[in-house]
Amino acid sequence: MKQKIISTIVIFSSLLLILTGCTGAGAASSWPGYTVFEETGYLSYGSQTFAVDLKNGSLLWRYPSDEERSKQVYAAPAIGDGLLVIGDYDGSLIALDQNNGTKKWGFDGANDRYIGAALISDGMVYAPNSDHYLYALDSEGNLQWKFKGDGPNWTKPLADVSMIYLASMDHKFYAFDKEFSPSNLVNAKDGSKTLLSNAKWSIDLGMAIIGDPVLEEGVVFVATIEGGLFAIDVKDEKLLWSFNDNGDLGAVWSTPVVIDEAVFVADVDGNIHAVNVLDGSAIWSSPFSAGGKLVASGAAYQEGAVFATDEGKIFTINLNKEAKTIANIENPIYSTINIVGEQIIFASASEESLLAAYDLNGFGIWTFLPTN
Amino acid sequence: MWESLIIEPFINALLFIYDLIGENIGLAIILFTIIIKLISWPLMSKQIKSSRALQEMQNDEEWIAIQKKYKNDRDKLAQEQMSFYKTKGISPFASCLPTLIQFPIIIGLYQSIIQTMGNAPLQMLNLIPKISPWLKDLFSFIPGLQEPLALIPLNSQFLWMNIGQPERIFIPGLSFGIPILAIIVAASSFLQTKLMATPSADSQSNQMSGMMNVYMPLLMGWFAYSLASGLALYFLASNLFSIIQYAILGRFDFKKLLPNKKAENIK
Repeated sequence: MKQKIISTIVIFSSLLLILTGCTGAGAASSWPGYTVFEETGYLSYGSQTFAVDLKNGSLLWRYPSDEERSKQVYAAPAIGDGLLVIGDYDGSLIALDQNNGTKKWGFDGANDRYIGAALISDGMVYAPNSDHYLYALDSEGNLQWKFKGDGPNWTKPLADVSMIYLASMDHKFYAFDKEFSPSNLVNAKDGSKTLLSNAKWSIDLGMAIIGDPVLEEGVVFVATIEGGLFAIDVKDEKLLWSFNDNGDLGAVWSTPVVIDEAVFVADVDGNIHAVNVLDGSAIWSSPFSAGGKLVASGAAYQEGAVFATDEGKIFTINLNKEAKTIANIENPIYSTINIVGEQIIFASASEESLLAAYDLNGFGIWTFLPTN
Repeated sequence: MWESLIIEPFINALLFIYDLIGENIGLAIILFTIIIKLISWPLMSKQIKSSRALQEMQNDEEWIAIQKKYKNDRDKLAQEQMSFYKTKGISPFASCLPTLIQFPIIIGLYQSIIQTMGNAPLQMLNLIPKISPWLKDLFSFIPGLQEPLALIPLNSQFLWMNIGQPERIFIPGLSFGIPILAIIVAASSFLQTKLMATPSADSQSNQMSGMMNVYMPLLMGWFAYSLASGLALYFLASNLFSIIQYAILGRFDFKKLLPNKKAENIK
C-alpha cells in the first residue's frame, strides 16, 4: 500500500512539473531591458536591476541585493533627475538613487505589468503600463494624473518641450500637453486625477504598436506589428506619410533608426528597409536580408547603423546597403543595441554573458554576468 | 510538428471565435473548450463505457473465482484473465487509449490559450508568426470581422477578471483578494473526480481513488489560483462539460457524492 501511495505522490508531482513547464512559469518571459547613461549601463533582467561600469563591465551595484524569484523586471530603467525608475511585472514602480541603488520611493497604483520603459521629463515620471494606463507622477512618486487608453502600453513615451507622446497597443499614437487646464482633470478617491477627455490629439495607425517610436526634428517615426512605418509631424498634428514597401514590410518590434535623410526600419522577417525621411519612398530597390529575425532596436553611428539578429549576428549597414558582420555570438539578441564611444553594447541574456561590449572591429572588450 | 499540427490551428481557431463573438476572450475560451470537448466526445464516451465494463467485471462471479483460484500463480492468473477478457469481449486498454489520445489535445489547448493571451513580449513575439495568412482570407469572407492581426492585443477583460492575470475579488475592508474562480475550479474538480471514480472490489484501488479525489481538486485549485484566469476558466469549462457529458451518458449517480457508500456500490 505504501508503494502505491508513494507512486501516486510521484505521479502528481510529475504532473505538477509538466504543467508548470507547459506554462513557462519561472522561465524568462522577456529579454533584458537596459539603458545607457554616460559611462554606466543600467540593466533589468529576472528579478534584479544592475548598474554596470561600461569601461570594464564591472558591477557597481544591484537592486535588490538578493534575488527574489517571485519578482520579474524586464522594462528598461528610466534615468533622470538623479533617479532610476524601474517597473516590474507585479505593477510596482520604484525609484532608486541613480548613484547607489538605494530605494527612494515606490508606486503601486498600477494593476498590470510594466513592459515599456518609463520616461523622466521636466521633473515628472511618465510610466506606461499594460493595464491600459499611462501614469504621470511627480519626482517624489505622487500620482498627478493618469490616462486610460484602449489597450496595453508597451512602448516608452517620448517628450519634447511642451508635449508627451505615447504609442499604444490600442493602435493609437497619443499626444498630451505637459501643461493643461485643471478643468481637464477629474479627482479620484485616491487623490489622483484622471485626464477626462482623450489626449490633446491622437492618430489611429490601424495596428498595435510594440516598438518604441523615435522623435527627430519634430517628426515621430513609429511602426506597427502589421508592417507599417509612419511619419507624424507632431507640430502640425498630422500624418506625413506611411510606408509598407508594397506589403513587404513585416511586423516591426524595433525602433526606427534615423540617419541623415534616411530612416532604417527592421522587421521580424529579418529585412531592413531604407526609407526617405522626406516622402516615405524606398531608397533601395529591395530590402537588405539579415538572415535572422530583427527584434532588437539598432543604433546609429558615423557610417550607418548597427543591428543584431535573434541568432546573435551583429552587423553594420550603411546607406549604400553595404553590410559588414561584426560578430556572431550565437545567442539571441532582442534588446536594444547601444553605441558608447567606440563600443557596441548589447544584452543577450545568455549563460555566458548578460551584457557585453565589442568594438566596431568585432573584438570583445568585456562581458558582464552577475554572480552572487 | 507539434506547433504546426496542434498549437497553430488551435490559436487560429481561438482567434476566429474571439472575433466572431465580438472580441470577448472569456466567452471565446469557453466556446473553444466546448467545441474541442464535442469533437473528442466519441473518445470520452468510449472511455466511460470501457471503464464501466471494467468496473462491472470486478463484480463478476467468474472473475472473482479466477482471482481466488490463481492468486498464488501469477502467470496462470494473467493467462486466465486474458482468456476472460476475450470471452466477454472486453479490452483492458480501451479505457486508457482514449485518455492517451485526449492528452495531447488537452495540453495543446492549454498551451494555445496561454500563447494567445500574449501578455509578455516573448509570448507576443511567438504568437504573431502563428497567425496564419489563410485566416486573413477567411475573415475577409465574413462581413464585420476584423483582420486577425488587428485583434492584437486581445481584450483581456472578462466579467471581473483580467484573463491574463490570476483572478481575485477584492472586498472593501479586506487587505487580500479572494480567489473565487480557484475555489470554484477546485469544487468542480472534486465533483468531477468523485462522480467519475469507478468503485472497485479492490480496497487498495478504492484508497487510491480516494487519494485522487483529494489531490486532483487541490492541484487544479492551485493552478487556478496561481496561473492566469484564462486557464482557470478553461479548467472550469472543461470540468463542467465533463460532468454534463457524464450525466448525458447516464452515469450520473449522486450516491457517489455521499460518504461511506463505496462498499454498498461494490456489493
